Amino acid sequence: MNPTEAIATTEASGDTVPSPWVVRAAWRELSDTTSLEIAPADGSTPRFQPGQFSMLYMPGIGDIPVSVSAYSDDGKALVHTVREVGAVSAALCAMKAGDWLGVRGPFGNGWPVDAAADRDLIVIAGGLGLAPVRPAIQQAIDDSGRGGKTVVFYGSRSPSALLFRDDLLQWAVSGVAEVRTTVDRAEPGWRGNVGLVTSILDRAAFDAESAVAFVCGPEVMMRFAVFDLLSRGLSADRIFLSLERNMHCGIGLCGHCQLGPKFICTDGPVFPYSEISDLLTVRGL
Amino acid sequence: MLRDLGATLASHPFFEQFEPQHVDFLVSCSANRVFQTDEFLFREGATADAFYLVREGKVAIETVSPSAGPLTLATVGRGDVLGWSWIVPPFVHRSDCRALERTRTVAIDAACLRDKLESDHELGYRVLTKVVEIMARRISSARIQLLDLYGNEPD
Repeated sequence: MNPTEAIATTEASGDTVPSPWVVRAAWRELSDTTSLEIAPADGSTPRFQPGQFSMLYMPGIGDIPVSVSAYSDDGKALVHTVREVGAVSAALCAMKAGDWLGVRGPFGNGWPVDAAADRDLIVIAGGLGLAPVRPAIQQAIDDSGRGGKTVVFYGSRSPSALLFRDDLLQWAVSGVAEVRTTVDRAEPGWRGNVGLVTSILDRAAFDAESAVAFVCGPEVMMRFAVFDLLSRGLSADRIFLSLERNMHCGIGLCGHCQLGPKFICTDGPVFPYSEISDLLTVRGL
Repeated sequence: MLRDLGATLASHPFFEQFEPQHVDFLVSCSANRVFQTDEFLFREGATADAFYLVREGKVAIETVSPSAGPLTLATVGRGDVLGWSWIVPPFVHRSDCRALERTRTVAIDAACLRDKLESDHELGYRVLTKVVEIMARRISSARIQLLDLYGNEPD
């Protein structure tokens, strides 16, 4: 799908007024994290680009931006993965199949998966940051004509907080991607890596001269990851970050998500590091 | 045999920027050592008698809590190094290091290494600069881990 088609679709489905969607399935990913498979109530087929987000609205409570984490298997619904941290997200995490909610979007740009068509794709994700980048990984894997390899580095708080474990395992076992995980804190019996996600980047083999990197997670983590990627020889215009700010309107009007001259909701959320490097170190932005 | 060890040392990332004569100078202090799964490379409180270069495998850096048992602080693997207690008086290890899988290392004898660095200050400067670089990275990583960045933030 090209961006024009996406914009046309989102305008038709309601950029400013939530459209009714229905929960087809809901399941716990982690103790505090739930995935919702939701579909437009009018039966239309939803479209999105990997990296875009929706505004999920709970009547009487509010709305929050949530990235699309997958297509449903039949392509007729979108999966959003929500961590329970406040009133809206708690209400979303309590939803069950058959419940209704309001949806605006999807908004924003997406990951430039095509830019990695014949290059190594390096994905560095931390915590819930794996959710927005999972569809991009899947798209890259599904592209049988791709020349480069896909390498996924994923860090989480603990072994029990590793998200999408089935996907990580399936990608690794089937050989469609190299997957390396690490945790900040080990639990009894854990024999995997312990350390910051950048610590497992050090010895990884990839073609830094041409590789494209997608980085998604807490901003502090992303800054350190970028520092390491630049040290490895990746150029700033081939490192892409998904930024998160206080998104409200989703269409560049309210200014809540403004980062200097950029609106995260419309200019982003995905930016090449070369465009935003100066902004990330400005205090208060 | 020593020539093979020299090549092994030279190919390790720790020494990749070093002059060949400096690497050759250290070969006589070095030996290949292999640790089986769950074998300890060293224990907390033991004399730091070697500086380990990891060639293959994975090692957990651990400490022990009476209530929680062994706690893994970090893991290192191929291309990493283990231990800087060999250069910090009183040359005593401050953690346990346990092989999580079969691990191949080059162990550089600590006393021999210190003598070599004392006798060749240029080499000493290069080794210390590299060790400090690694220490800085690990401290930086540890600080970020302490921030618990993957924790919850309210809506």
